[in-house]
Amino acid sequence: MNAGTLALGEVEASAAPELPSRARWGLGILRRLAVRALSVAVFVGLWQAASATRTHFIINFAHVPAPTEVAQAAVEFLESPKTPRHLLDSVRRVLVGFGLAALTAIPLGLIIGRSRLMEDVLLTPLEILRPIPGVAWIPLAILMFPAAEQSMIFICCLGALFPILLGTIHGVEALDRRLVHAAQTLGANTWAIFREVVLPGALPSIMTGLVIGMGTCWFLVVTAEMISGRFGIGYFTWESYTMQKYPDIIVGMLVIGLLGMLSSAVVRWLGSRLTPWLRHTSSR
Amino acid sequence: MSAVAQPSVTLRQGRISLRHLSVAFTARRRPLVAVENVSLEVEPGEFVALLGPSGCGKTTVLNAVAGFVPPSAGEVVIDGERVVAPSRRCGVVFQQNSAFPWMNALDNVAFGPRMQGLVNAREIAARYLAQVGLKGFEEAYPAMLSGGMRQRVGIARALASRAPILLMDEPFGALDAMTRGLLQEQLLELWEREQKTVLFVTHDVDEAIFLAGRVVVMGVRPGHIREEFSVPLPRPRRHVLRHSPAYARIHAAISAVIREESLKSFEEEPHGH
Repeated sequence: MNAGTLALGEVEASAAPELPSRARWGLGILRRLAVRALSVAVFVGLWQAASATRTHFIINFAHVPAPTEVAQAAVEFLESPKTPRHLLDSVRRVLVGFGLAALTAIPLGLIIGRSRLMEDVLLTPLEILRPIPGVAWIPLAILMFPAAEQSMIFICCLGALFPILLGTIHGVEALDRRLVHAAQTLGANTWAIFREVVLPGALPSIMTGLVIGMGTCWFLVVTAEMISGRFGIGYFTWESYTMQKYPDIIVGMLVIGLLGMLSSAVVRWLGSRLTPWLRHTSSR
Repeated sequence: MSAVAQPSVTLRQGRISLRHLSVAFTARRRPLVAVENVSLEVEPGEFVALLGPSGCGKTTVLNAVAGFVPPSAGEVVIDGERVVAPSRRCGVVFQQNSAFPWMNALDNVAFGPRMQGLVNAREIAARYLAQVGLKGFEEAYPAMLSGGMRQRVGIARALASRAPILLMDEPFGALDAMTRGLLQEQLLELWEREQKTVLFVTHDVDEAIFLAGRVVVMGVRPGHIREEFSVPLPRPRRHVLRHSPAYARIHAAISAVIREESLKSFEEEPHGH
């Protein structure tokens, strides 16, 4: 496999000088896409083979549905009238939880990063809460909130909160002090320094926190829905297990993966729109 | 030269007085005296260079004047007022990369006027950018500019805030010799036009003599003023000046003192930790 790809590369490399650079660039992209598609195909092929032969070597494939069964279940899933509700409920929980987390964590991080007193007051309790996994919060969340919906959003929000908070604090603390000094000598007051220097200076690091936070939000919405949901993609996955609809488990897993990937990509895209100056840095 | 036009700041402003200034830091839990008992008077409109080997505390003196570090003893007084915090009286140009990366060149320069609430901040900024030769680069982010251009943005930004005092911390130290020479000449032209007080930190003897009317040589361990030299070379100064005999004499005198101080810090290095 490997040797074959290598040989192919050599043939193309020798032909390359005759192509204009733009075409060569396009060819490079195509080749990478082909390699990626091939890798997915090989992976699915191995999975199919393992399920068909009911391989039982460390992992037991006897009860793992084959890709063909999953594909069939996926078609049924897409056609089901309940699907939009499952998707919408999960997306809504993630968006609300994520939004609340961002609205809390960014101002909090800016304050903790700028003030030693605030760091001493707030950071220690937050550091104690941080290692507690989202799942461990579920019983307490159920007790704290009257509606299941609220406790699920709370769990989601907790997951995104810490990555965003830490990203913001790190961004503020890594800010070049000379930029703050320069702003002070140019007549900026405390609020202007926050708005014009600290926030944009920390923004790249905040965006990293948001991307990671979006990922953890998806982990936790699924966890929360498995315990106390009626709709939602996490609930769908768990329900498929209890009702022994095994191909649906994998459909649910893949949908979670896709939604997580998609939402992270959206956050990343937003981030690059908000930090246009970084595009020029990387191209230099 | 027509560069000597109407001064934009009255010459009453921009007097710097250092009175028995000492600055101490805590480094690795031990107190470290960076600057001890420095007294210096800088007249409004004067161009003074602080020259010395690395570790002589010249940047610390500058930071104390700017209000970035508090004195541990003595005081800094600007125009009769004691310095306790950074203020608009001093524009600062740092060694490198202190332009706001998220603002284009124009917005960087407009920052000061904007913070002062001037409605024509962008016009002012465009004028200062043009003065440092960056017309046409208004929209460029700092990352897109060369090191020399970035320093010119920094200078334009400091000038645009109309501070009577300009503090410069080795602003050309990271540039190649060619760019450095050109920017030194440009700085002198701007200074002759704007009539600001300039306190210029450098470790380059040539740079100090070429730019300053007075060179204050600092010594090490702890940082102190070793000797002052007045530079009676005619203004406006241009690059050819560096080949004159008067220049050579001052250069030799200052270099001798600097060499002594550099050797001292070099020899003491192993004990100094």
